[in-house]
Amino acid sequence: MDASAALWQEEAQRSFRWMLGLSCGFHLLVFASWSLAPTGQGAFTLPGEAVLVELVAPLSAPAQPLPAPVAAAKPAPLPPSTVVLPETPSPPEETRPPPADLAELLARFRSEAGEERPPAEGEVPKADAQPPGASAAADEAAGRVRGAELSLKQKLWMRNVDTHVRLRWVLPPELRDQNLSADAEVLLGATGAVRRVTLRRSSGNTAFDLSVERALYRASPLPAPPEPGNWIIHMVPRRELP
Amino acid sequence: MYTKHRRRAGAAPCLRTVPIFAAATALLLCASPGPALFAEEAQRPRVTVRGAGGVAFRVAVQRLSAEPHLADRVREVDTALLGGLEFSSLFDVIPRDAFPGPVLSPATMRAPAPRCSTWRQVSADALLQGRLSGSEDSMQLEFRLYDIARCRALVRSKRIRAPAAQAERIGRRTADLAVAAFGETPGVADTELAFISDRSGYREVWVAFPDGSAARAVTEHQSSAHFPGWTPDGESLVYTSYRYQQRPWLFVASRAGRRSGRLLRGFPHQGTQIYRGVFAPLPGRLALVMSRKGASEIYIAGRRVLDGESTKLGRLTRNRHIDISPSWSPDGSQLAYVSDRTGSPEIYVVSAKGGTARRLTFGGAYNTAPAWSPSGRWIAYQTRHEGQFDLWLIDPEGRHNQPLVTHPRSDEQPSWSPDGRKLAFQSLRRGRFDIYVIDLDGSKLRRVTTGGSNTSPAWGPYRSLGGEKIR
Repeated sequence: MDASAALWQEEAQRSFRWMLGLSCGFHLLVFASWSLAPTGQGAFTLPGEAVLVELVAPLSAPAQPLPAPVAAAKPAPLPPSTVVLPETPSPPEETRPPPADLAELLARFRSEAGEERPPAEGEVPKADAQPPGASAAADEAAGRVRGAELSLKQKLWMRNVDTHVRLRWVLPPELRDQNLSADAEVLLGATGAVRRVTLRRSSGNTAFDLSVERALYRASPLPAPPEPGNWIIHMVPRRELP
Repeated sequence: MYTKHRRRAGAAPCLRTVPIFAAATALLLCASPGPALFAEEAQRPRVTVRGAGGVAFRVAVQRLSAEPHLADRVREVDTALLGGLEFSSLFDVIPRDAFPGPVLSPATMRAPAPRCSTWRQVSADALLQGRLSGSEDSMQLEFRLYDIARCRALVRSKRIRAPAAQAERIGRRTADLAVAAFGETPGVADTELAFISDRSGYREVWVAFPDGSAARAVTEHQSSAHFPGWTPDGESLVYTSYRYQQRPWLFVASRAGRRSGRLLRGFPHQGTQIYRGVFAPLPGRLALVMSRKGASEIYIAGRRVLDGESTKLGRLTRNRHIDISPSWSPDGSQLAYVSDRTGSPEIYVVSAKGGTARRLTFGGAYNTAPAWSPSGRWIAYQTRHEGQFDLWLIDPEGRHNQPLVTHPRSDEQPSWSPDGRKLAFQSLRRGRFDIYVIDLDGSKLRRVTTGGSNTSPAWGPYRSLGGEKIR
């Protein structure tokens, strides 16, 4: 054996030892972590939200609405970290009738645990109480509700504008009976102040158009609009006695 | 060379910055909420206002400025102006305690334009300022009118001239012009109402302003006058009187009462009786209710008959029944009249050229006194209900028929104002006949006559003042 061969053999043995040590260390680490890791249900504290999701999902659509908890009887809410569902329910009061179904039972549990009432059907829950998988659907539902609120607000405002302007629209009788109408664009401030009136569609009758313009200026300020800006107002004299 | 070089050197950075600015501007425009706002506004629902429920415009009339020698006249003009504005129903006059006095000097109309915000504080929708000038014989009112709501001048300067004796008419004419500026047609404060009154002991023709003021007798026949009507120019009245051979015949009198005479003099009157004459809105034709040895029929007299050059009449109705109460349509192409051909008086419409008449009223058993509105939209008539008459409106096609004046006492003989906004009628509601005026929406009922029995109102057309017509 020459010198180079001896050197190569010594180097190979050193590498083998190093690799063996590394492998043993890794296995020891895996074993130690497995053996030292906590086991059993009591060692895991599930977050309150996760419990909520599992229980709410099948019970969110009961045939009967959940009874609203009595506000005075509701205990102070506990911190989320301490919210643990009791393994056995507390004995029901003697005067209280037995729960009709699981939903009522759950509601009672929640009430005793200090949780809020679960959302009823169609009610949009709070964002922080949403399960992660349902966030998109919840956002969509919330958007629908916002849209509905705006629409209702607009409808109420439009009705108020109708009443408000109508009482200030003076029209000679000969103009009421000609089946005229006009559209005016009104620039409204946030408080309903009429800043500018522009005739968008003429009735073809100058006196009628001027009366429309005059009525809208006379009606300033209008009821505060849902949003400031330009609004189109369609003016029609009622068909009645001339 | 230096300049050229400098220009080039200066132009290069500019050219380089242009695309940068353009890009930045485009980026800003895209990033700004403007387009989103426009799109949002475009999606906004259209608000509908249905119905004009406002009652009247509030007008501030500043005390008229006048030269000292016209102090008495200016009060007369001022009173007539305020009364005319109130009578129009289009204006409510704001009490003068609420705003300052005249801003115009007696010498000039040059006053600053009003501050709209100031006048809005007294809830004024309109502001009228004027200046009276002239002599004891002739006067001139120059006025201007502002639309405070829109903050625009509607009448910058308008002069009304008239003899001093007609100072009241100057104020009334000003009010009518103000109505025209805020509506489509002038007011009727300066028109006149003719009616029959027996307050002198005889049934004579009387004339008054439509609010009842300045009433005066036009005839003094000491006979019995009936059915007054106006010539198209509003300067003369035609009426029926029994003063000629104690039988009904047509007479004409100037509205001032200076001249009167028998109409259709050359007409053969043997066995003929003329009960009523109604001039068409356009001159040259007169509808006659006349009987010749039989029941009354409706005839049309042309210009040649009126001028006495002919006696040939056009006969509109031809039957054995009574046909009376003709009323011209505003364009003169049709007439509404009353016939009892079905056994009870009903209203019919027929072409002025003749032809088959069309029955208009079917409700009720006694419908008479049709009056075609100046717009042509309605025919007012009286219908009997439980022994008393009410006033109703029906459209010429007979589709819409609706009550206008209903009262336990009788309301009869409707007559339209020339603007079509009011009706005059006779009513028995105070136990004797008086003339009342009412707005077309059923509001602002007012009695305009006092003393005696007052019947057969006939509202005159617009008149000229100082040689100037109002429309």
